[in-house]
Amino acid sequence: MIPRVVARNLGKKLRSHNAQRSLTFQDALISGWKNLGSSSHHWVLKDVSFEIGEGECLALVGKNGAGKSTLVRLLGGLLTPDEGRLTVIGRVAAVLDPMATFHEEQSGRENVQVAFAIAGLDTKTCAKQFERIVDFSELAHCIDNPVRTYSQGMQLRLALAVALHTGPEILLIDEALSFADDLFQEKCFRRIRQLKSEGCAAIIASHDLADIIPQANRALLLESGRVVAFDYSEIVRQKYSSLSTEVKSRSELIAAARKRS
Amino acid sequence: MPITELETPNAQYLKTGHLAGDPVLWRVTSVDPTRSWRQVFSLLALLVDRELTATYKRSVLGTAWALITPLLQLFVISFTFHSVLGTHIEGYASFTFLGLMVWNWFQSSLIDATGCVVKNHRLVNQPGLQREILPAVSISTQLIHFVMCLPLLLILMNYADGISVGPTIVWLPLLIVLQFLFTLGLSYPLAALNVRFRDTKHILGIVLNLGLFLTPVFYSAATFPQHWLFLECNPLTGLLASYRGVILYGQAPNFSSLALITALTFAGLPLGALMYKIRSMRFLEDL
Repeated sequence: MIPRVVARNLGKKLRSHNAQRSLTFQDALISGWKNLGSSSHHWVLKDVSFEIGEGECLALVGKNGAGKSTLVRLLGGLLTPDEGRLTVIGRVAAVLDPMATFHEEQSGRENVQVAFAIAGLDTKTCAKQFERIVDFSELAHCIDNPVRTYSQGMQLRLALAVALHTGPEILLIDEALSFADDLFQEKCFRRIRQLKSEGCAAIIASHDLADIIPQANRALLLESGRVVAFDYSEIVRQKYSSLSTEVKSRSELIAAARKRS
Repeated sequence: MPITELETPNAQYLKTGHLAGDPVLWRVTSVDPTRSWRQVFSLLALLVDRELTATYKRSVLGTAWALITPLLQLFVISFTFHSVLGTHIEGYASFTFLGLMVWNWFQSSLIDATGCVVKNHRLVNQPGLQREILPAVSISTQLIHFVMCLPLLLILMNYADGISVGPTIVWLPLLIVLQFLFTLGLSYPLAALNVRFRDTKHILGIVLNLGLFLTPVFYSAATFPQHWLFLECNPLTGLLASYRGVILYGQAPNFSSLALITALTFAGLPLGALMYKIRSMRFLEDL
């Protein structure tokens, strides 16, 4: 199997800046060039090792602040690790911030073109995939309207549709799927399964295990930036539920609430 | 494609894991297919189009502002210097208008490019985007304004000053490319610095204000017989003289006067780009 992502002992230090840190030359001069550095730092990620190959789907799970987003940003090349080694092989498509590549004043159509160009694809590929993207995102009625008139859900659908149709070899999704409605989520997972069969590796960060675990082959459980478990997703799910009984998945909470009422 | 490329730089650490003491830049190996120049240019074109849409979408006169602004500037400056102070230069209107076009392109590019990373903080959050393209987008957008003013300049030359364009105009693209690269070399460090210190942009505004007066935009460097240091050391002096020679006076550019700006470009561009590259690893933390 061809590896897509290989991470060895990854560590990321984030400098925590206090409010007094100088953000302008004016502040810096007044404070005598003192508050320039970071007051302290802490390791957001430490000793993270895993690998994932073609046709696999990795679920990144953990509580808020466990380091999921930082890890996804490292994989996307947006941050560099302070420790360890990272190899990423293949073209990356990502939905970290749904509005990242979109401009409010431009129409959905124009924004899709820009998103394709950022992904390194030419206008021909874009034209070929365009109908499918419109179809997938269910935005046929307003694709020529400015994106600022879209609801957040529509923006999310368009962003996901673009990412899933740029022919990615590595797909990074940070929480975005958790915000989509169930039907659209299912549609995305169907498309992801198809991409996997074409050799794509998917890495999906989520705090909601119930949604993501059944779709993933493997799962990486993070707790305060350390890997608690990296294993087949079912095994990780068992560890996770034994680790924190108070944290339940969304669907479990809803079920519990229904029972009470 | 993938596995063979994996062999060379990474085979060692895939086996051994962590290697201490190596530069941060080498810790990540990305075998993302590189973008061809064509892809970079098409992205540049799309982002420039986006920038123009954003600037003019909701203004009544739209792109006409690109022409109105320098014309009003020209009016103010010719009134002050030509009518009140009595500067005597042949064909003052086209002389100053060309100077203003070049200066405005330089100044607006630099100010825009300095703020480009902060302005596009969401775009910077997207994997796959070459962040090096952002300052180039600012400069290219302003280049469109420069080019839009060219017909206006020709009209001014013809009707106000009776000058016609000679064949030396073929040198114009070379000058434009040179100014583009020179501005880009300055933009990279400024854009990176502005992410860390947000008042870089304000300081730059003041410096550029001074720069306008230290550059022969509405006066001629030739009127100063003594060699003034600020004119000699100003890379734009030679560039402006070449622009004027090429368009107004039908002279081929004087390459010795372009030597300074060329040298600065060749030294500054790689250095600035490297600094931007290194600082860009920290953009997300400082934004």
